[in-house]
Amino acid sequence: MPKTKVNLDVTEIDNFTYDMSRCVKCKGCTWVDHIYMPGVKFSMRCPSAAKYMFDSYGAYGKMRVGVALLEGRLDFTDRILEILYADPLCGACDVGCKRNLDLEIGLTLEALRIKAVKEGKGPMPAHKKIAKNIATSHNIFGAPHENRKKWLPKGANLSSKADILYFVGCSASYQNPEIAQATVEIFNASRTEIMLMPDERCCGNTLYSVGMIDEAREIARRNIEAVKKTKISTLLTSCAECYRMWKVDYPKMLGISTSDLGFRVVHLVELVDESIKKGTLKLKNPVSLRLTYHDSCSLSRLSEPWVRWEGERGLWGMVNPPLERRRGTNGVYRQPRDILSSIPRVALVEMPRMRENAFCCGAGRGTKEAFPDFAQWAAAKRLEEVKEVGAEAIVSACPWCKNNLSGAIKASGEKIKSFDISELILKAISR
Amino acid sequence: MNTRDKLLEIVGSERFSDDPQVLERYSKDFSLQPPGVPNYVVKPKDAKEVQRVVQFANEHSIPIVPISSCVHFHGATIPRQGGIALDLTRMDRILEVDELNRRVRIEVGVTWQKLTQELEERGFRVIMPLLPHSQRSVVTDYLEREVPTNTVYDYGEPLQSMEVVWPTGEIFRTGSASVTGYPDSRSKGANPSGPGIDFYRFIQGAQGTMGVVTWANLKIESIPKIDKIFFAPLSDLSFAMEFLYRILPRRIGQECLLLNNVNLSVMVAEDWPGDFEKFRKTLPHWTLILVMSGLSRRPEEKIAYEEKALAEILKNEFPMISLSENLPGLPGLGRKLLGLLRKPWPKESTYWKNGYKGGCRSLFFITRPVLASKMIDKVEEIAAKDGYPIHDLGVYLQPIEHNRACHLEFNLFYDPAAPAETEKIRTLYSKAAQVLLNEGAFFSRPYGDLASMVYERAASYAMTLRRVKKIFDPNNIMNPGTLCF
Amino acid sequence: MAISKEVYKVLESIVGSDHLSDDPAVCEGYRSGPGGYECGLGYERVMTKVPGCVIMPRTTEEVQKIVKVCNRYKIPYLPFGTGFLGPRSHPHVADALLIDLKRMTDFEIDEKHLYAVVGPGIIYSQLQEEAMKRGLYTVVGGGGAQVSVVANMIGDGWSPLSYRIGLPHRRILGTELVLPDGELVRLGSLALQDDPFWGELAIL
Repeated sequence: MPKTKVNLDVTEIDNFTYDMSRCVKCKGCTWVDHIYMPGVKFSMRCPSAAKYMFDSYGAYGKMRVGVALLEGRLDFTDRILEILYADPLCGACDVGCKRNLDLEIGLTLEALRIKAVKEGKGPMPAHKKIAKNIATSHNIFGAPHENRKKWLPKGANLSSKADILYFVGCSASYQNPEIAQATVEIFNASRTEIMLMPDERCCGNTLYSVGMIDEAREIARRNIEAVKKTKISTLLTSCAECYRMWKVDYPKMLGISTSDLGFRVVHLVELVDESIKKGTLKLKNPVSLRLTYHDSCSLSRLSEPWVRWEGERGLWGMVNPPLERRRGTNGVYRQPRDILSSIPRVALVEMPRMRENAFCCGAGRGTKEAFPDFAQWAAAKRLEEVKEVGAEAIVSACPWCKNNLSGAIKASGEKIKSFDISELILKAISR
Repeated sequence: MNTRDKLLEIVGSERFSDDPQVLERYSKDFSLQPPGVPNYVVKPKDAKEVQRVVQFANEHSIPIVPISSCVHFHGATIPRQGGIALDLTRMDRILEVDELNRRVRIEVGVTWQKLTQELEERGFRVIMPLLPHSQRSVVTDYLEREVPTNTVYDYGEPLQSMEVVWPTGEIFRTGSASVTGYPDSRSKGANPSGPGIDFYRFIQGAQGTMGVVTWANLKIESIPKIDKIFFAPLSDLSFAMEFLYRILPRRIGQECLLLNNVNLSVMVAEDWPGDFEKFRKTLPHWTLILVMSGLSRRPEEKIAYEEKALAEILKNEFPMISLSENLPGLPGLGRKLLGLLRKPWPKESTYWKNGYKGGCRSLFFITRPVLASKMIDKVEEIAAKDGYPIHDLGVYLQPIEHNRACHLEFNLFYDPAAPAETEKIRTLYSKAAQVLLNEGAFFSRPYGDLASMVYERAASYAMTLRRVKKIFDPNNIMNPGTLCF
Repeated sequence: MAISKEVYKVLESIVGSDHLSDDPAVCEGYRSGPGGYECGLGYERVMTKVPGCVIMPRTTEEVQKIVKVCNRYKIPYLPFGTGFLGPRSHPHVADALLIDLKRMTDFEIDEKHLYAVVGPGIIYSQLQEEAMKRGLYTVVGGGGAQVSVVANMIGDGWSPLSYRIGLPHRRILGTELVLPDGELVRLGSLALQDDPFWGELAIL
């Protein structure tokens, strides 16, 4: 039986021809895992398939389109670009497929976008604009780079040298200062020193997500260099997307493993959870709210550490050495829930679709900019679930989720609030 | 070659007749269907002969009426357009008893009596409708969807695969009996459907209009080792229905049925008319009959857990229902009824439906159990208006498949020798049927006059049926004039 | 162009432009895949073709209209649920119209009378969950929890648990069917009334 060499390098699409051609259309990528199926309502996990409905828009259809592209039967058209890009790359399909077959759906989708960009067909015009913004102002908004630290409240006391570096991210810096401010206050309250990056620049999430891997890689190298210089042990983020970039996609792009980075990448909720358990942070103030927690994709199913792998594939598609698949099981699910449950008077209710089955809000990884209607639609769908469980508020751990959900709430006229978890933690800590 | 000679050639003179006296016997039955005489009667001995007769008939557009029993209640076998009465009663072999697959394969002429006896010797039985006539064909009764008294088996009907001769003369086997070399094949014919298109439902309920079935496989069950029969006197039928909705989906019980006092009296009376009158007066308005059985493996435990579950439900939710092993004032009823329920009606006695006045017109349909009460009220209303004595109206309610639906049957007893009474019954029947149809009664077996009523209402369905019939029976030779053909 | 411009316009007026497409990339998504046990044999590639056009109706009336249009303009079509009968669920001739029924997700359940009314877009795991919420259950055919209930039932999908509640084709009650010429037939109790609670009206 001839063996083929294979690895997980997304710039080589041939690594994924096996995965593309073995899809059996079971739609594990599309349906909520059957064991957790809520019924006839809220049965899908894939926002793209739910909105556009044609088979091509679900991962199972995209795999076929991918095969056709590789075999030269189809060329990149506007329709194919829509099929590939009207998609928040939320990872639901990736973990859903792995329940049944060990196919690397997520990596295939990334590889297809990289191919589109390489051939000059992608990404979407809105993405090109973002790329330009990053190139000139080092943030996705095109706002002045010198204003990046404007969010800092007057008299904020941050160390110039600490063990934990807080990577604020473009959104919290320019659009959601409340998140950054809350984060800083939280660490003050637990008397933990944090520092900022001297010259913080965009993590490159949008670039990588849309397939502009060369630009993203350059940013990765620069950012990691900058962090190494500070000799910190822990990189802290309050944005799920930044978290995923640093922890998963930086090593992926550079051909190393997460453990090779030389520092630990954590999200706010992980450190806060540790602090609460250690007793250095006390959430004593009651918050009377019936709320539900939305698992931001990049913090949950996409957040497992990246392990570099190469090997060969042989009989029955089995690979050697054995590959530990990233199934999303070990994402950051417990910590935010523990935090919220520990706040006095909070009633935490779960939505029908949660954890690996969570329904993406539709905003992340360049989707909101290129397909605003789609992002709004997906958030509106998520809101139906919030209403279903009678929650007054929805809490997430990513500014993208927060903003997109807020937008949908506003459009709907419902009296639901959308919070970032940092805001609730702040409300609860005794100062 | 003329028809007579051809038929003689196929079946031989012993099994052919065009003697008017013989033909007359086929022209009527227990129903009120107007008489119709066939031109010939033949009694084929196997499928090949059936095939040759059918082929000939098809070539010459001669009607064929397939008949497998010698007693009929609904008029379906009375020839409407003359033709050949295809009498299959001689094809009465029990071909296989397959204990491992719980299956029996029988020719269509096998009667309830013959089959029950044969199976009993081996410790088996086929689930039965209520007190079937011992000389009726088992296969035909199930083709005609007689409802079994046993509600616990999900198959709802024991019929499996069959062999049928199409109106154009091909011999065809349905389901898994269609494999090459059947019955000497791995497949035993237990799957009634496929491969691909399913002909089972197509042939069933057709009243002989789609083809001639020659043999069929049926499911058999082991005769229970332990039986316990219970009775509950009831006056409120709706309440009884709630009870059945509760216990039957839990698969409590084997046979389960409801009879009103008239019907139950007719069944158990031995000394006429004394017994009948006495019972009718003293029996409760409704009697629920529930049989619990332990089958072949661990029968005591099975009965024990069913009884326990039933006792809890009765105690906690239906304390006013008193279920006991006998009805007050009727000692020995349990043993008697159990015997009646497990065997066809004894051949020597007058069939129970004819025991009271000689004649019985049965109006039956399928409905939701929750609607039964209302329907009974409506029929009683109409009967009262038409001057039919309510105390002569027999009612039988048979829950189907865990009480998801029920067969509701009204037995209108009458004296067939009295023309005025007969006419009254005819009009009452039509009136009641029309009203019930509007109330949501599902007449799934439209015999006689019911057919035109039903098909008028289901016009597009009837149109489709006719289209399909044209494919299978282009010359409309199979029992023409029946259903909507 | 599999379907002429005129016919495309007619179909578009039936379902709206969002639910109709003859774009090759959209049709490619409906290519038959290796079904579980046929994986790698490749015969789906030989036996099936990609549809020429895909349409997604929402109601029975829309389905009837579509079928009538296909009849008039001689367009081969096939109904499509979840595509799990392997190559057999997919087009075998070129330029077929694939009628994707996933939007027909009407659902009702009568727990007292132990039946559910489903459209072809409902899959078993949804039905099973709704049943179990009410203390009931159904048996999922071997095709899997992800297959369309209607497609599997009419294809007589068995499972090792079928003995518990009976053969699939015996569990079909009132049915509504659009014939190949666009006529609507109602079978079972639906033929006589608006209540689908029972099957079998003297034949079918």
